[in-house]
This record gives sequence, structure tokens and C-alpha cells, in this order.
Amino acid sequence: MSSNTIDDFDLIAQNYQGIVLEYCFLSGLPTLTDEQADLLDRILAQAETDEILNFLLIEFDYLIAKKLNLLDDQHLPQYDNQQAYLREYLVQFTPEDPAYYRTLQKLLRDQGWYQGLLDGVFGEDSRQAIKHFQASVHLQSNGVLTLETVLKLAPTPEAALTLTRSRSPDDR
Amino acid sequence: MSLTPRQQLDRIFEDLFAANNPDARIIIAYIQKVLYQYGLWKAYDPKDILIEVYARGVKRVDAGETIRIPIAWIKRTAMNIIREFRREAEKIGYYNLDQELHWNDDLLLYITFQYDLKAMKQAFERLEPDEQQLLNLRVVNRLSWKAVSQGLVTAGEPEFKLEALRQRGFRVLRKLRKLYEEERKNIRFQFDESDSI
Repeated sequence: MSSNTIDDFDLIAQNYQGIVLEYCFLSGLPTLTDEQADLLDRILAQAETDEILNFLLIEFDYLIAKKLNLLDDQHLPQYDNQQAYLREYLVQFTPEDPAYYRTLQKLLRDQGWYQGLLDGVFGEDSRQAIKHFQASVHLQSNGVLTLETVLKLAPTPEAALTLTRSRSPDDR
Repeated sequence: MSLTPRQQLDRIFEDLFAANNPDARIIIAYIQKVLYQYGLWKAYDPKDILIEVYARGVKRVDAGETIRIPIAWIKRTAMNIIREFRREAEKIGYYNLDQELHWNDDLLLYITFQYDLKAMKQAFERLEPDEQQLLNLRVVNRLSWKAVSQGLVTAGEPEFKLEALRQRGFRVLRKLRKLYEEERKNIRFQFDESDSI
């Protein structure tokens, strides 16, 4: 068995038992001191570069959540709603056509949020303009081009439709 | 055409919070738990924290930094954001910090590393070979679905459409956890039996 697969469980047990148990102990505490949170932070930092550890922590997160009743009938519908919200919120428009960004820049300029060039490059100036626009319509002001932002920015439903149809195909 | 780092970040989030992704609920539950630990569960929902995580991800990739293992990075960033929010809340004397929550104090008795890992191993062995291969490619090697597809084709498997492959990956993960629950019950039963003798 190769050492870089998840089927070598004996090796995994040997290498990861200590760190996973420490993670479970800290994760199961009702409150965390700064020192305990720093320890957790170090474990999570290690998981950022270690695929097996990351995999194990997720599986044990599942167990911990089950044990703490965080995956029960009371919580799950809330999670599903939040997941749906995130899908909507985090959908960003990233077409490759600069004409799309020029259209956005023009809309921002027409509404007084953008004073830069209509160059089709969605750079820092454009992001700042989006931030100001988002704040003005009570959206989270982070410069991220979400579906909600584009829909609010478009002056008419027809324009919104044109903009949202410009999305690049999913090539994940 | 290859994706820009920003587009890759978007794909990570879209993929993670896709309707059928079995990891999504676990991550949201993880953040809910940290909100409980910091007494902020009445002030924030996990989605609020995840939106801030995403905004920090945007800054990070714009600064040219990479995110190697997204789930680990998201969990770590979320925890640190909640710590910051707690500090801010204390600074302004926020009134709604609430630590009250029914908390099980026997977590470590419940989690027995060797037995849980054994259950995981048995569950993994009950997967079909192609399912095991898919998990290794996707989970361990952190390949994109496109790269997984190419890897499978190289290994002689038929080519899947990306969306079909992604759904297949989600099904395998769900199956693994279902098998894992079954195996865990059996192992716990054997363990308890022998323990009581």
C-alpha cells in the first residue's frame, strides 16, 4: 500500500493518534482558553498542509458534532437554509469577457460609485466601487461580485437578465 | 483555459456548499460548535462567519497566497474570526454573550481513536475499488474534479462528465459515513460486550 493513500490505516493510527485525540479533547470543551485555542490553531495549521490529517479531522468533526447533538433535527434544517444562502451569496460572476466588466464599470460610474476607466479590468478601483455600492444598498460591503449585488446594480430586470446570463461555463 | 486564483477560490466555495456535498453540514456544524464555545451563538450564524471567511480568502488570493487544503483553511480561519469577534464583543461590553448550552462531558469516552479508525478502515474496505480510488484521488490528493476525471481516464476508467463525477464523489462520501456508522455500532457492541465480561 502506498503511504499517500487513506487505506493504510495502521500507519495512520501510528502517526496521528496523539494529535487527533488532542483535537477531539479541545473540540469537546464547552469553552476555550486562549492557550487551548492556540493549541487548536496549531493543529488546524498542520491540517492545512497534511491531507490525511485534514481527512481525519473532518471525520472526527462528524463524530464530535453527532455527540454534541449538532447534527440533530433541530440544527439540520437551519444548516440547510444557511447552505442554500451561501450558495446564492457566494455565486460570483467571473466571465472572461472584458465587455462584461466594462458594462459593470459603466453601471457603477452612472450611479456615481466609480470614476476609473471603462477598461474591463475588475481591479481594486472596481472592487472599492462595488464595496461602496453594496454599503449603499445594505449588502455586506466586501467588494465581492455576488448574484445579489449584480441584481441590485442592474437598473432594469432586462439588464439583470443580460448580466446574469454572461456567466462563464462551469469548468471545475 | 486555466482558472485564475480568484476563480479557483470561488469554485472551492461553490463546490463545498453545493446542495449534495456531505462535508457542508459538517463544516457548518463545526462553526456552530465554535460559536457555542465562544458564547456568540445568539449573535452570529455559521453563514455569517463563512461569508467573512470567504472575504478573507479573496484578500488572500489577491495577495498572491495560495490555499492548499481548503477545508482545513476554512476551519482555521473561521475559528480565528470567531475569536476576534469575541474579543470585540468583550471590548464593547456586548450583552448577549451566552455560554449556556447543554454540553456532553464524556466526549472522549465516546470517541475511541483505535475503534473509530478500525470502523473507518472496515467501512473503507466495504467500498468498491473504484470508489476507494475516487476517494484517494479526491480526498487525499486534493485533486480537482477535472484532475480526478483525468486520473480515472488514465487508469482506464470511462470518462465522466464533471458534474456526474462530482455527484458520484458526494455519494461515495455519504456511503462511507453510512458504512462507518454501521461498523462503529458493531465495533462498539463487541467492545462493550468484551468489556463487560
